[in-house]
Amino acid sequence: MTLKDQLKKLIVEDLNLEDVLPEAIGDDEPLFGDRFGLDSIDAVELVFQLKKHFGVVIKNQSEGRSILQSVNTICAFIEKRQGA
Amino acid sequence: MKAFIRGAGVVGGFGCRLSRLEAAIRKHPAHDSDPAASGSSAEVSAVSAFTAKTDLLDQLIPPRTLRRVDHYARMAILASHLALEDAGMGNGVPENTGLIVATGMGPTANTLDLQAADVALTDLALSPILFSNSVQNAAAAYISMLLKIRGPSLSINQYEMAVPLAFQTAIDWLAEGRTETVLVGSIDCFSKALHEASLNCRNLKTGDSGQGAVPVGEGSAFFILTLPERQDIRCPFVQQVHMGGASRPAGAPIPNTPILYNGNGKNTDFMGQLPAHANFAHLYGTFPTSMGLDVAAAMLLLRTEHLLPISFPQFDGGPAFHENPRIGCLKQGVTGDWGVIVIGR
Amino acid sequence: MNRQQPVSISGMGCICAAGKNLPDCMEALFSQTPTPAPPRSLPEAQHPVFEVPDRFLPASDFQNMSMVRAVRLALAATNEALTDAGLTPAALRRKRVGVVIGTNVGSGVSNRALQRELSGIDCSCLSPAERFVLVNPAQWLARHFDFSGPHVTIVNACSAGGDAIGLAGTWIRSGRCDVVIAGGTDALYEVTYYGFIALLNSDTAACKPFDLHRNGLNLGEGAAMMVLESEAMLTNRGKKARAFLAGYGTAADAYHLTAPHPQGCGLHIAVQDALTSAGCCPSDIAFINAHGTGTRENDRVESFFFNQVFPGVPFGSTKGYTGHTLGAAGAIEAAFTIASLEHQKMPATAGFDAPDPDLPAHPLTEPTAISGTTALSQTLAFGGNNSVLAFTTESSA
Repeated sequence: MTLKDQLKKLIVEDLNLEDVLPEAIGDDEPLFGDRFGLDSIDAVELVFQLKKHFGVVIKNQSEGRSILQSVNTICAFIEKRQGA
Repeated sequence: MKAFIRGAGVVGGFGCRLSRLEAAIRKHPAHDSDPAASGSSAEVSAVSAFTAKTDLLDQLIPPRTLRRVDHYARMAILASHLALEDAGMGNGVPENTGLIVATGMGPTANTLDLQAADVALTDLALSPILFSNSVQNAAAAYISMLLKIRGPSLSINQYEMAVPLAFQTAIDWLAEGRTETVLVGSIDCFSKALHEASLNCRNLKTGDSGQGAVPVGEGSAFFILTLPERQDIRCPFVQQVHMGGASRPAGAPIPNTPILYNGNGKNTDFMGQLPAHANFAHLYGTFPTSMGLDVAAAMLLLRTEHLLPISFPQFDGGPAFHENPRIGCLKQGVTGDWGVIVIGR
Repeated sequence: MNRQQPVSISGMGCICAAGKNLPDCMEALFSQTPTPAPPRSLPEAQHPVFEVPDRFLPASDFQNMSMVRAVRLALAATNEALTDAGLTPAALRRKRVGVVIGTNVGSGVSNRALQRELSGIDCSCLSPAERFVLVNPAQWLARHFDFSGPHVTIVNACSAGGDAIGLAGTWIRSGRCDVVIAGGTDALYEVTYYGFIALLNSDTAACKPFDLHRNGLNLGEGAAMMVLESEAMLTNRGKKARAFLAGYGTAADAYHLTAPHPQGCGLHIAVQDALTSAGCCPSDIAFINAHGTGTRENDRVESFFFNQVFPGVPFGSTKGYTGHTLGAAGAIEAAFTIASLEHQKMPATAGFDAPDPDLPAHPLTEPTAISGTTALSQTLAFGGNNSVLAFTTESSA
């Protein structure tokens, strides 16, 4: 499974978006736009799960805001941290 | 001071809504020796636990809205919505409505199960969603957000005495003008930890009551309480809440009414003095806040013709009772404390 | 909300990282620079906390193995409060004495703390009833002192301690009790510690309430108790009140599980109710003990609120001396508020150095003389509850 696919699966499962198929999340789609109804608890939940599954640390909420914009931005962050 | 019960919502092993509780009472007014034979919708495990289903909630609130909410809070949210539905308040409650949530043990499937003593520290960290749900007032927070309840809010964790304390506080708030409407209710959930505690610590076949097994259960009951209004004829009301304890002086007031009690009946101090008593543990089990379901049952017995005689077949209060019907709901606690909520109509 | 009769407070007790009793705490608030540290049980953890040193707890308690830490702290504060009020358990025996305690973990959220704090007990064998008897603080205190009145444990998260005091006022005014022991207690607990970190709410350094560089809270632990007493009983024993609970307001934001309403809508209602019940208006208020946790959202909401409703009224946070003590916070800070009125001096907000230009109102930077007899203490809780207590040292008699 590609990293993007893993991320989409994680988003759907950990945030309990039961009516969303992982493959229906666009790579560039804003995660915190109107479609999914995500809020600040979902944001910190993603921060927690990203650390748990990929070992990457997002230090605070403002850092999180830019990293968690889309599957692509999260992917880029993980690849950068893991490649470093 | 009387507080009128405008509506009630219930969730338990028998199903959801007062209509299901009424049907369960009609079908099994008396305790059966085998709780599994009660024919309710309860799932019976090795520990005869009455577990509740909350599928109905998905028809009332979009599932996406409740995606993070656990079973404990779902039961409370559902019972709250059903209370508003029963009260004809489907469009919402007054904004300064108060909210009181009574629990015996809190969200134990999150706290006792996930935070077990033998979980390694490194595995312990709860995710934000799980941690938020483990905070003991989470159910109240969800109800408040979903029903737009912005008045005073209180979450009580006091084991068997949580329900009478909650009702007493609701009456206090109405009496002192803190609010004019209170949504007050109870919630307890079953969990793996409670299942194991029951297996370890209780003999369900013999019980310790001499009256057979008393199965554990879970459920929620919520009520809309208000001050009296002119058109309140025949509306059920909470007449009074009595509480006492092992240290209390003897002769604390027990009303001379039929009594619904929920528990193992071990402390039978009061039983001999009562005109009539009944126990619905065979419909929803017994758990710290099952008294909330007793209050709903008492309401049903008072407002539904013929239901009271089949539950208290030996009781005949005569014209005086017919004119002024009352039922007391009694809970006796393990520490010797007790509470009675008297419901009238 | 109606105008309400003030309720006498005849004694207070407090134990937290700042001190083992209320006088010691106040001395620390006026003189010391507190330094939180990682939890003793997790020395490599990065986020500091305000732990109560073991030497603060009475030595005899450590021989009593059936007390969990939250109960231990509550008992220490209760003993101090009763002594302060000049009341012995024997004197209370024939009185209707209630107990109202606010807490978070003290409600017994898991077996972890039990297992650690009560060595020798296999918690997996405890029945639910046995667990309750061991951990529920209101029940424990009522049984320990053989009090005959009602007792209740409130679990309103961060406002629980304040709500306990508010409810106790109702019990006295209604005539249900002659005396109510009311307050809050909470002990540090690893799940809560990691939980706040996971929410990105905890600072890795000492917290900085209202500061430009504030980055979150530090957890703390402790307890504070007050003795609320009926006028009749006080008069009968010839004692004067130390202070009065003048008013209490509480309201929910109905907005979010963990974040406060951005415009503080519940806070507005709670403050209004507190003022109305106390028969006060904003200009009567000498100062306000803010919730001031050091998180960006909470402090922003309070600063804008103070600027709008209480322009020019001094305010501050004492969480830089104690940490956020969760269920105990409302009670500990209520005790500090009354003691500050008695001293006619407010402590500085420890951790506040640089004003945030985005915030319209800033707390005190130095211990400051205040004039006035009435003050507010407010808490904004997880789950959106807002509770405000109004205290006065002026008798209305």
